[in-house]
Amino acid sequence: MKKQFFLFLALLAFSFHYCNDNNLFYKNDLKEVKINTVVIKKRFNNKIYDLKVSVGESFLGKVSSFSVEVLGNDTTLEKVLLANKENIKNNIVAITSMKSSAKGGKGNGMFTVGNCTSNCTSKWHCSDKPTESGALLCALDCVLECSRA
Amino acid sequence: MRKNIILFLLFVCFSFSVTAQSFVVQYAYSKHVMKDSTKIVSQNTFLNIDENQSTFFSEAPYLADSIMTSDEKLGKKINFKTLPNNFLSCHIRKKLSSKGIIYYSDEFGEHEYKYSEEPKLSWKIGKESKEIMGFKVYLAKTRYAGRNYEAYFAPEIPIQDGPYKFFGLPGLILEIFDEKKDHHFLAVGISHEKRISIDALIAQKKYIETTKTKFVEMRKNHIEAPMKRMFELMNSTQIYEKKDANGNVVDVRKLLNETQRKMIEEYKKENKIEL
Repeated sequence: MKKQFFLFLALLAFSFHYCNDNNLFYKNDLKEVKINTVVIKKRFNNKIYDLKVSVGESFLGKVSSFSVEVLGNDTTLEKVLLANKENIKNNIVAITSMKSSAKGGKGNGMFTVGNCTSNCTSKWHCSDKPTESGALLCALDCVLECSRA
Repeated sequence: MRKNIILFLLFVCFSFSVTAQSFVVQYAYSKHVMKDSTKIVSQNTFLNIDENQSTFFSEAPYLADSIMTSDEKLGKKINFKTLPNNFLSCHIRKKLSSKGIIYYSDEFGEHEYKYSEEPKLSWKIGKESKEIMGFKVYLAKTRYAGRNYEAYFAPEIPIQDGPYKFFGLPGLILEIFDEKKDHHFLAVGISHEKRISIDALIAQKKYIETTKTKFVEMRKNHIEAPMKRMFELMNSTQIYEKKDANGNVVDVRKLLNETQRKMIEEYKKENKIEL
């Protein structure tokens, strides 16, 4: 009787453990980054190549990643593209520093002098400066940074 | 003996069901950028649900902290103008067993405040239903802090929680918005894996404990004269001039007056969730 009871208990525990992993209401995952993909056609040396362009979307729809893939078995265009690494680097820098980029974009649609100043004074612990003059000069640097265009 | 066994089994069932409730819900939070504006801005917010409490927060302070740390590591100057703002200006911690919340402000920088509240949410459940993320959700209405809200909750997810300060429905709130759609929370994802947490940021900040009434009063005074403390410091230290980054001499009184005027204008237009 005792053995049966423990067997039952073990089965019960196992079933709950199993349920915990498999039988919950998680129908989708977090959508932290959305990736938009398009296939475009590019003519090179009288041949048309399919390029798969993917743009990663971060918070507030800003660009967080960018990739270009040449579809098909012909690697000619890929080799040509990869040969000019400096050009690729410059293009990526230009994309990531655009206004709509997550890294370089200025503002998030809600810039306020108040928020900017409070973030700045908080970061540099202005009110913890040992003297009142120190506290004021620190906070003034933040005000200058945030209130001027 | 039999009674003990049943009690023990109930305990086992209960403990397993509790551990199963630890997960995160992602809500897209949209709001009108300002009062009477048609421009809408949105931000990711998260409801981390644990065994006996939940935390609701915006991704902005987490992102801002990451950006600042990364800039410091790379030796870059931090650009405070581009840091993401917390659209909610707070984090909310709920203890559903006591129907109480703790509000942590996130708008004043160094001196933030926290207060406890037991929101009185009287829900009227309607018959309308629809689907959100594959869950059947039902309409419920309530009024809170000067706004009328419509919420959709999922009885399939038997957790009486929701975004911001909202809770108390027989299922997780997956969507809630006020009648003007000034503020709108919509669940866009649910996961076991908590990839983002605000607990460390809350723990490292100093919060001044207050009451909601005092907080509202203090904020009212702040938005009338946001540079008050700076003027006091200017007068006590008698620092009336300062050089900017380009070496130009700046009139401190003029700078503070201009900044205060800008801030007051911003506060007048702000679209706060609580009226």
